[in-house]
Amino acid sequence: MKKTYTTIILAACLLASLVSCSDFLERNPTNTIAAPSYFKTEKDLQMYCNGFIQSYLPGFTSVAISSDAYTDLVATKTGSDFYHPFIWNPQKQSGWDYGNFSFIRGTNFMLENMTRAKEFISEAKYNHYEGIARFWRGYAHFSKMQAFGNVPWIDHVPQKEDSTLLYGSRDDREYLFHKILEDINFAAEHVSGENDVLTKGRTYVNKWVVLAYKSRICLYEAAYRKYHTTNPSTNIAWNNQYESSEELYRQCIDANEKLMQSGLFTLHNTGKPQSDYSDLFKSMVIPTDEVIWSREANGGEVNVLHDLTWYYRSTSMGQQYSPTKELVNMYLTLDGTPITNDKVSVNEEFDNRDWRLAQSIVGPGYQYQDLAGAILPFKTNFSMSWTGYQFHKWCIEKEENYSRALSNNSVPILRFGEVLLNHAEAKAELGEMTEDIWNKTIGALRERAGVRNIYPGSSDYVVDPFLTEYYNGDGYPVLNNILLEIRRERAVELVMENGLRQDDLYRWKLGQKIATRFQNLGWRGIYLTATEVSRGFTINGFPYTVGSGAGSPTNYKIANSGANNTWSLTDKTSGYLIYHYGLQWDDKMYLSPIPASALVENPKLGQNYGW
Amino acid sequence: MELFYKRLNSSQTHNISVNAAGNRVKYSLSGRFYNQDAIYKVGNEVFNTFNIRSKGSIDINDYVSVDNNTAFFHDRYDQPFFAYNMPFLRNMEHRGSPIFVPTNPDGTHTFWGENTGYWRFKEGDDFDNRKSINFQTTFGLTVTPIKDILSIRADYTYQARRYEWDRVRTPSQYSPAPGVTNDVFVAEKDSYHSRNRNQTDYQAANVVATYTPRLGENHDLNVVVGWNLTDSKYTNYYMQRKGILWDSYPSFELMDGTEYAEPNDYLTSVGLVGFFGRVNYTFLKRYILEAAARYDGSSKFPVSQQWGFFPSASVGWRINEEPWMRWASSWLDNLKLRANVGALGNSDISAYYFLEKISLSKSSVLFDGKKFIYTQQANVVPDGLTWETVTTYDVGLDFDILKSRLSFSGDYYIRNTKDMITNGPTIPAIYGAASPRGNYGSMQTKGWELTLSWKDQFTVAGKPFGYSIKGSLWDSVSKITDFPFASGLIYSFYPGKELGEIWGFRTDGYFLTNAEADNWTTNTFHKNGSNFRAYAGDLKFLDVNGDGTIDAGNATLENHGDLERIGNSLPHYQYGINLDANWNGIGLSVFLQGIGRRDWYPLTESGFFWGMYNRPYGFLMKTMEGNTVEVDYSTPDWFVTNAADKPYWTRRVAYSANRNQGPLTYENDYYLQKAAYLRLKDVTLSYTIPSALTKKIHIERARFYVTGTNLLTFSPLFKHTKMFDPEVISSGDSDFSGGTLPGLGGVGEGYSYPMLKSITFGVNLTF
Repeated sequence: MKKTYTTIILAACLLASLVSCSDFLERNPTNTIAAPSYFKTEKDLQMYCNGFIQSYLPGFTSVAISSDAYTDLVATKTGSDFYHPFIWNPQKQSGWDYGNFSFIRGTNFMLENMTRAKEFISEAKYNHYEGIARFWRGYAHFSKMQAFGNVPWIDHVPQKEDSTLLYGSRDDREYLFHKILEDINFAAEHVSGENDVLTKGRTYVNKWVVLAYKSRICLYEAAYRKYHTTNPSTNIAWNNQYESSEELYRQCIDANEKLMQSGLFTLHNTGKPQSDYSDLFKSMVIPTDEVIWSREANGGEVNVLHDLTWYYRSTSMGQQYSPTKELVNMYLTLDGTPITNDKVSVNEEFDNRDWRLAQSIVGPGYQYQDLAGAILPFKTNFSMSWTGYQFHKWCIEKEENYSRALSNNSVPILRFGEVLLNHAEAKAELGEMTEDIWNKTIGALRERAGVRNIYPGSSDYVVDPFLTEYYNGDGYPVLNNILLEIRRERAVELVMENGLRQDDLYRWKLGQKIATRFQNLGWRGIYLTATEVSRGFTINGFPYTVGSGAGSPTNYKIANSGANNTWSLTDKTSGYLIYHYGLQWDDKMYLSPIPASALVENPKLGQNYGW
Repeated sequence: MELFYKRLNSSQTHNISVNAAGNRVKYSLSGRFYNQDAIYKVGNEVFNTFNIRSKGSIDINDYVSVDNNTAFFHDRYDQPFFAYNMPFLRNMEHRGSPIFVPTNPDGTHTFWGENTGYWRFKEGDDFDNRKSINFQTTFGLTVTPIKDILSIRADYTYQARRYEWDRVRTPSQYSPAPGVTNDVFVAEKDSYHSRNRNQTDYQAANVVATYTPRLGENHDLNVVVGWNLTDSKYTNYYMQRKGILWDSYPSFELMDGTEYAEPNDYLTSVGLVGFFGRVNYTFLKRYILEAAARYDGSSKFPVSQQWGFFPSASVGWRINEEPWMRWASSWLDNLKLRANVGALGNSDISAYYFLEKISLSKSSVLFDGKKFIYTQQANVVPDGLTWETVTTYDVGLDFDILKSRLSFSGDYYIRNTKDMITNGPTIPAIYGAASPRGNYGSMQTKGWELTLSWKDQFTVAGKPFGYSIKGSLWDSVSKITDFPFASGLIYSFYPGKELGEIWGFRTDGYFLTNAEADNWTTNTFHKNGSNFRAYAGDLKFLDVNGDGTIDAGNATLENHGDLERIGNSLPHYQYGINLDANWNGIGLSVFLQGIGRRDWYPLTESGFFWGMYNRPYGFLMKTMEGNTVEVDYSTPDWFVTNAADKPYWTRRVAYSANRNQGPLTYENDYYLQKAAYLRLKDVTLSYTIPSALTKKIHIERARFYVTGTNLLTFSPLFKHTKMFDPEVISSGDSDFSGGTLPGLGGVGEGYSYPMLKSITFGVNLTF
């Protein structure tokens, strides 16, 4: 037995020597960096900031379709579910999951951990990167504020024990915007604008991107505070404890002036009014004389292409976004005056009009390239247009792009043209518009499009009854001609761009427009005479005939286009094409409801007013 | 599908083995080769495996012996390839319109011929080739200081696996019109070759001492102590280059792409150490006691929480050995009561999970025409991470009676899982990160298993006829017993949740007219086409909670609207039946298996179930033909015209099973499928030639056989779809992901490699 014990003891010693357990059981990955040793070099900071661009730079469809599609100037097949009559509720709402807040967490993760870099890089560099992180933090909060109004301001990485934040109530919008502005102002001051030659107009965030973004959000909030009398989250009057509406207009103006005085940007104007505007939306190499921030596409070997053309040229991919007659009527004539008669055929409608019309909407002479490479006249397709008009602002008009993601145009997220519009509006809202400012802003935009610049204060100015009725009718606050013309200009210049039309309607408190229809009938399209209805009509040389549609003797179909859609006409047998799809507006819709699931997690969030 | 699949294919297996045994040396060598023919008509497909094993031992003296067991395996699977993110079957379901032709009249490729991958299969330059090599060797040393009383065995195993997976997609063109220059389907710059290579190196060492002292007639004692260690390293390399210049030569050197996919290059390394011991004592051959324990450490846990202690104990009582049971000894061969309680540790989580890490990625966004490298916030780590402990309480009864002809074994167990490694509790969204996995909550599983068998033989025509029948039946139900900070959401864990439960709407058939739909409960929950309303031929959802509207409430236990538990997706009442009979060298064996109850609600992307209800251009399902609601749309009050035929499928609404709010997207009891089945898994008929005959030609044994696999399957599922195999219905085991969410998502169901019915003819020769 003794031998046995000896053997066992020997074996035990052997085991103990074989395994120094603590080493054997401590292992580290080879392809990742331990987080506590990150954020020490400038490269670390730079690469982390790249991550914001990768994840949060607006996508192609968000730039070129997004919420613009569901506004007053665009007819869609069924509209957004949000505006469907009385169906939207907190159960349907999304946008308040942890994934929606990981963006903010990511910015705070950098701001909390980057202090490690302080001893390794200069103060200016440090502030530059802090500025970029704070820009994105402000950006992330602003998009939440637009959707939900009051939202908690989150300035640190939340810990699980942080119950005041996690289980607390929402912050007041005015405080929230004040904190957003603090971040954006810090960024505007410290983010470098020096290497603008390298980064200008591209993907990276520089000082100019921050300023143009500041211009956009300050104008948004300034108008919101002016035209809405109450905070829509609570329906309680603004308390003006932080920035007032006027201060926000001033901050907007301040950003605009910095951009204008930098001398780095100008309108993209090569003296070709028929194509300069279009270059901004259809170029792979985007014109960086005007564009401040963009999302790049490239058909080369990197092969970053998108499906924007597909969206606009498919019966199923998108919502068959169709410009309405109202939008078309907003385009001036080349001599700077409004149109006097809109009961004309599409074939004549584009004559002598602001060149942006033909660069945004399909008109006579418009062409496309077929699969074989031949350039042919484009035929309006009534199975993807509800008004007889089709957009082409973002389309690379090749048949191969109609059903595949092969479009290679880069898209602008911020551009100097918008800054000029913001400047004009802020000045005008403060009553400080002058002819000089007008000429540098709205005037410059019109001249680029070949339109004669007429200052609304001058004797040549012709009042547009259509525009006046559109904004001043229906009990809306009455605007002066300068503000009316600025609104015209924004609609025309920024159509289907970055969701700005929806922003405009919301901040001007014109949400009702989304559900308002021409003479309460429906979305209004092209004009057809009785003869055209009975004998057929042409667009761009292609013949169409009008047949009877289902449901009612005054419903019509348009043959020769493969379309199965049904319309009526304003005067039964002639008139404007009308597509009826009823949507609903209620003032509570300026905000989305807080999702039911979020309230289950934290009832203290409280629901938005009216929901 | 006919263009792609063969109705029949064939395969071959060859086995050979040689054994030798001497006084102190034993050795055996065996090999196997298997080859299966392509299941596709077009394209190269190769599937073969080859393996060889050598096994031997040498007794050096009476005390020491050494042994070695070495095996080598080689597998190869080459198949045609079309697209990385579009498995072939999904592609067919989406794009394989029944009227497509692959070739234009002028011989060029059609768009559909390329879009379905037909030409990629046929031309054979696009491939997906996988091969693996496995090598494994074990050296053992056994020392027996006291024969039959004390022995110590130490062994060491090394296993290496090398795996390589190549994919090639060549440039291709199609012709949209006669004489038109071929349009590019995949441009040269987008063609690519990718290689995924991974290697696993695994080492394990064990030292076990067994002590069996002789303590006299009435005492049996067995003591085992041991130590074991495993170390596994998994390395993965991935590379991809674009720009194939010559279709048949996709070498990385013969390509011109400068655009590389982000390479993978990582090592996953896991170490485990364990100490264990066991004492087994039997008194009077009938009272059995056992106590055991393990002490395990894993590198997957932080240093302070690496170790876990897992004891177990069991008792057994062989009642039939009791003197007072002798009266029954003529028919009772064995009667045993068992009870045991035991704990085990589970470390089912990925390595390094508790570490805060930052990784690099390549962007998809461009800057100045180029992609860039970026990092993002580190993963959120759990507060702590340690072993999950599974404690099982089991009682069992075994008996064999009537000369061991009738045998029974039954078990009932309760298994408590503590510190479950699962998704963390819900934290309010503004936390900004998913709650990391960690040790949360407890679960209880109650289950039972029964096995009953009968075997006997009698004489038929002067020869023995032997037969046996054995049936097994088992089931278990798992419920969450505790989950901290449960949010109350029905799709996440909450105390009382049964794993696999399906929440869904109740229905009462479908509407026959629009008027009927209009007068029904308001339903603004489901989006039907473009509108939030129902029409003739659409499902009639029931307002279960009577609140005047159909909805899902907040999807919480307190307020789940009209949702109810409508079924369970886990298999229940699983069974297996074996039948064997032999007479005069003729043998028959039959194996049946099945599931008694299982519910299945097809995922939204289960295109082979939903067909046109998923995407209007989806697969045309045979089961829908003539069995779908037809609606007369000519007047505003639409009505179902074929209600008398009681068609199963509701009105055809595009995307109704695919869109987030689609009426078929959310689970409901109308489309809930019964996925129980009974399958004739295996039937073998064999004949062994009497050895008296074969020995004359020096053959020890010669056996001829024919085996049929998967010949018959019965399932209520087949009433509505023939495209799914109930045995492999779901895409994977997601039971522990914290519950699956409703709505959109879920690709993979029904896209698995088809279960083949096979018939094998074989010969076994033993010399």
